[in-house]
Amino acid sequence: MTGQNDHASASVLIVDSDIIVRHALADYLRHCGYRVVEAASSDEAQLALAEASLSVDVVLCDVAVAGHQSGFELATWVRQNRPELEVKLTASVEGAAKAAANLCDGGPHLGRPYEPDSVVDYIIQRRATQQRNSER
Amino acid sequence: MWREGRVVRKSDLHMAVNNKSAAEQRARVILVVEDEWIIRMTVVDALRDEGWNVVEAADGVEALEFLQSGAIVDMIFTDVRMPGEVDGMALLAFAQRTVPHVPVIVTSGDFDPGSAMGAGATAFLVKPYPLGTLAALVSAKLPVVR
Repeated sequence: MTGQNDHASASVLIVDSDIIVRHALADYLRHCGYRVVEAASSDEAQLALAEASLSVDVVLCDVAVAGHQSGFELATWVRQNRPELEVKLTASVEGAAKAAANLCDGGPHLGRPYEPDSVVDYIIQRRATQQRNSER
Repeated sequence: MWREGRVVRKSDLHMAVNNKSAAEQRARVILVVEDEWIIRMTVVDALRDEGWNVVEAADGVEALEFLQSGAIVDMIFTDVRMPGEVDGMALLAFAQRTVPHVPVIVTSGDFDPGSAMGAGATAFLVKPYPLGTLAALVSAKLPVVR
């Protein structure tokens, strides 16, 4: 990963349509010292990757992200158009949290701020609250 | 737009997962709702540089979902015209019903400021706006954390 050798500019693009998941992952990675760019769809991710002034080292993408492309298709597009980037596809909250934790193990400087299970717990808790609120 | 060398502040180390120790110690959270990705990134970057925690929502529906999740939000900064079922004014109405203590700053380049203020907006910011003006406005309107 580029970021492991150049921690000062390591940045992660998170592509996930679920704002609760996206925010938890982004917060976790920021705690590790990464700069994080968030995209709510594959279309937004493509816009981000086309932005010349924005450096991205890793793309962390949900396979079922909203947009004209699925996560798989976005990953293919990235490999064809930005082959220098590392793409991590995730298919579950647990997988995404684990991928984020693995990124933290590689730097930039703070290490894991807390165990990835806490991220999953947080997301479950927020979703439960959201569910309760919507049933009122 | 994206500044190099952003340092993670200690105040950032709070949010999300193993929150919260004492309310007065937490960084305040601003929900930025903007469908234009470039604008949203510019805004959230500027606000994070000021030391605030920022949650991004790409449209009104996402913002509504986040508000319904029960997460703490201290301010909402929203565009008016966004795709989907929930535009900025609908989000303002929802926020007034569910989190009336949270100030809502509305922004637009083609919406009547008087209508937004009449609907209960805390302030209205005409697009395009200097980032310094936004930061000053947010600072002035953020409620004091008890």
